[in-house]
Amino acid sequence: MMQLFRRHPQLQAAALMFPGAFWLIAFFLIPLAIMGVISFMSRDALGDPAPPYTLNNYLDIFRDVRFNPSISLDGGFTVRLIEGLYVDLFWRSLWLSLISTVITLLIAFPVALFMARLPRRYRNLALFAVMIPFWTNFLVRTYALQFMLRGNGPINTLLRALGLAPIELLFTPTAVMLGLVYGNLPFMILPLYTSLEKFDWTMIEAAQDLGANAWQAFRRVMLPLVSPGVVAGSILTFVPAVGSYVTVDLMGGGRTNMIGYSIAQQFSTIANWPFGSAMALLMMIVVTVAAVLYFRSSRGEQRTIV
Amino acid sequence: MNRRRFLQFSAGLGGMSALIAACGSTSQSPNVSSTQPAASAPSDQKLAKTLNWYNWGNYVADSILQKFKEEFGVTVNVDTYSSNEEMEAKFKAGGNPGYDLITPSDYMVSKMAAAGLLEKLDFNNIPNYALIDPSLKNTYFDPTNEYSVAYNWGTTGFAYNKNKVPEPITSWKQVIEWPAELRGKLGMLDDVRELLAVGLRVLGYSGNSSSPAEINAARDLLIELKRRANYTLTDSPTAGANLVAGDVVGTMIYTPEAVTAREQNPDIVYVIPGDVSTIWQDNLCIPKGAPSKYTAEVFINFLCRPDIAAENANEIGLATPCAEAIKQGLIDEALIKDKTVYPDVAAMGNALEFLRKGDPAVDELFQRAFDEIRSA
Repeated sequence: MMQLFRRHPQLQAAALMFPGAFWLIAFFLIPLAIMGVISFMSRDALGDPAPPYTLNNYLDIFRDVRFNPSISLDGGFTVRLIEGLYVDLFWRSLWLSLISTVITLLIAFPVALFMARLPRRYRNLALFAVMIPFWTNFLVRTYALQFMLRGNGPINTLLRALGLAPIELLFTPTAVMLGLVYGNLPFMILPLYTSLEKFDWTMIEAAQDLGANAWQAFRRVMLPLVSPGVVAGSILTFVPAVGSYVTVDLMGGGRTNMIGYSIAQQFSTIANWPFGSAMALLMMIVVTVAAVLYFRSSRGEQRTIV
Repeated sequence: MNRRRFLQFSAGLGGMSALIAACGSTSQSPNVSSTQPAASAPSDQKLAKTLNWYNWGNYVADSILQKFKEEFGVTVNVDTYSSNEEMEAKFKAGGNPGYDLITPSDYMVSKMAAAGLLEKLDFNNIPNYALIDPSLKNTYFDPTNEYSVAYNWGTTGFAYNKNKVPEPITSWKQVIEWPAELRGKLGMLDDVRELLAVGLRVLGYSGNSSSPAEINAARDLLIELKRRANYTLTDSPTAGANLVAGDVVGTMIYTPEAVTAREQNPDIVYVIPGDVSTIWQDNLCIPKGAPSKYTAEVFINFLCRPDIAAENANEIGLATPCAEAIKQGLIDEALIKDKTVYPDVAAMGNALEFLRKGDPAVDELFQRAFDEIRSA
């Protein structure tokens, strides 16, 4: 066997690829293709997907779209050109995910920087601390967060003890944002840390020797060099946020809707697989386009300094 | 519909759905009791060692599974689901994964029977079926009593903290007219049909309306209420937890969670609003391709035995369909006297209505209206 591999390196490559490729094809590409087919199907009398094939599921998403440019401050600053039930929902989901990604980045960067600057022997400990939450199921942690934010929960109890007025947190858009940031923080910290750990700090010294102030050194030298970490972290945060379901459900209390929730309902409560598949595929396309555009623009950024 | 003990669990531990395992000593010879059907047991009528029940979360008393194991030597394994559609999907996608028994709600029985997903029951093996309340037979979802045996039933009503609302709430109309001072303190159920049914009924329509105009009118009413009252939309266990914690002062809720909430805070009152509320019934059915149909039927018969039915109903706090258990006075007095747990169905008449879900086109109308409410 080994000899065979030695003689035919391409065979070895194929053998190494096989488990991953098999996994990807069997559990990602084939289901995705099935979903693609279902998204063009109609429903039979029992509601199951069935021919004839149609574009109606996609058209239904845009059925009520009308041109109506608007700027609103409702639930965060939003600018819209068109209006419609599901189009709004897509837009709102992308917007909320973008905000959550920016907040996550702003919180994660100092943390990752701190970790990377720790003496080597403490770094693994810090890394370990970041990963501890993964030991508990996300659903359970979200319930714990729900408990924290309740009117009579620890946060409000503390506020009352300090003589301050309690604040309504649970089931608000703020709670959803908090849940998204909380859930995604480790996914932002880890790639940032990886980039920052490799960062050569003498570069900053060099920049400063050449007359850069602290901000310029950060903006023109450090940020471009750690941008792969920023890009990876942002995509790992943004993409799951757009489709988030549990957080929206448990933290939003039905007051904040995102597309992931509506898609889940198409499958779980009315078993409308064709429409749910169409929405899910459209979301995938939109998110992929957004991620690719972001990736491209950041590569441009890297090129400018090299 | 999530079930009662799920709430206790989620309130305490954070909502993991527990998998009940009927454990016990392994080698126990079947103990033929008087309740076992007296059949001259042909070869296919031998009890299996295990029975796989796909049931709602925490929807059976553990003690009963233990007793079945002791009397019949059959271990009942329970897997749980949290929606009828979740359960249905398991049987649609590639056939029965190995379950002997399921507990679909009313409309799902007819839907699955129509799709050929249910076995016809052999009532020779279920003599205790005679003890079931006749009013729970010949239902719209199983008119000829071929596929289902009633397991539990309840209602969708309203629970509130009597010290925190200005006046007692007895109607859905009062809920729709929720006072602006209590903004943010109202809870509604995150269930398409249940939520829209409230709007439909207050407008004088049936919760089973299929008219787009009526459904849209109900939607507008609920959007208007959302703007004024900023209600939450949650599942029933969360609604109960919110009520107990004081995050809402009144909420739409199913019977079992209301009973639990009431136990946790005596100021909580549960009412079945008279301007039409939903009645629902969960049923024991055997899915097509069940590995041990006979054993499942013996178990159904066991669940219909008055002492067992009573023990189960007292534990999970739901109305038992076993009329004989009620007649023999086996139900906890506090429960049986409670008109919200054992409503007088005959007296309430048209004030109780089953929600007949499952027509794809109508479901789509409702779902879109619901998405519009959620996004408003």
